[in-house]
Amino acid sequence: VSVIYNRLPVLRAEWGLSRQDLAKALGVHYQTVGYLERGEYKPSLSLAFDIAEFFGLRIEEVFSRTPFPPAPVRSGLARTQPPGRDEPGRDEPDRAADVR
Amino acid sequence: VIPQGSEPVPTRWTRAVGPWRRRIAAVYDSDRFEALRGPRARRVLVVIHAALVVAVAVGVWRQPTVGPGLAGWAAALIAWWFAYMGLLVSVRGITEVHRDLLDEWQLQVRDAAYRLAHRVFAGVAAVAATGFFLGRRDMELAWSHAYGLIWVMVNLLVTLPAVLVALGVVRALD
Repeated sequence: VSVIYNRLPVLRAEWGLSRQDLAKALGVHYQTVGYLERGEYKPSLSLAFDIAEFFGLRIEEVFSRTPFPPAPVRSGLARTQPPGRDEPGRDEPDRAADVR
Repeated sequence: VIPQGSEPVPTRWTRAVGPWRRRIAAVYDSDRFEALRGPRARRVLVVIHAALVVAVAVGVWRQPTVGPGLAGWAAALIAWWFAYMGLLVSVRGITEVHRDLLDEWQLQVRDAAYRLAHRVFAGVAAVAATGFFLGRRDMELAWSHAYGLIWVMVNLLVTLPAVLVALGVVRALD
């Protein structure tokens, strides 16, 4: 069985979203977000695209067949605002704002 | 009418889910029942439900000579109903609610639960039928015996998917 790694916990923490917030935005149950984050469930292609689009990233920036390098430790991990438009790959801030 | 693209043709099964079904699904998913959703609580609910099913079956089997009386039957059936509802709530009703109200992970769990429940039920029914057939010479069968068996089999058929999800068997398999 192939393993699919994802950066969902890191991205969710960076955006300062709760599982409920993310689940609501993606149209899934918050338990499903938990299973995805723990790698216990592999999303459909459609849901994987939804997740990537939500974070304004390419799908391979969220999901990978190889482990992602560990996220850099920084103070104040949770963002209070979604990443700005000037950052690369962040072109859907409006959708993120809907869930707050 | 030829459907355009991949849009499915609505049928009686795929029509929009009404408010009543949404309300029931919301009750199943309510955070008020979080205490019933731990692994231990789920196991306890399965045991209580199974004990009540067996108790009612034994009562029916032995009727009318040693029945518990009308009040006893009513109490047993009410307790059984609460145990059954508790079981459904403990698995957020994912084995019962309309598929449009579930997400893809929940649908996978439900499909796996029904697939396994089908096999388990077929096995139990085959063993029960064989036992019944082999033992029929040693007992006098009455309608009450048949009712007791039907009660157990119907309960198995209806609750087995939820039981398998509650026990975590399905997740372990997939």
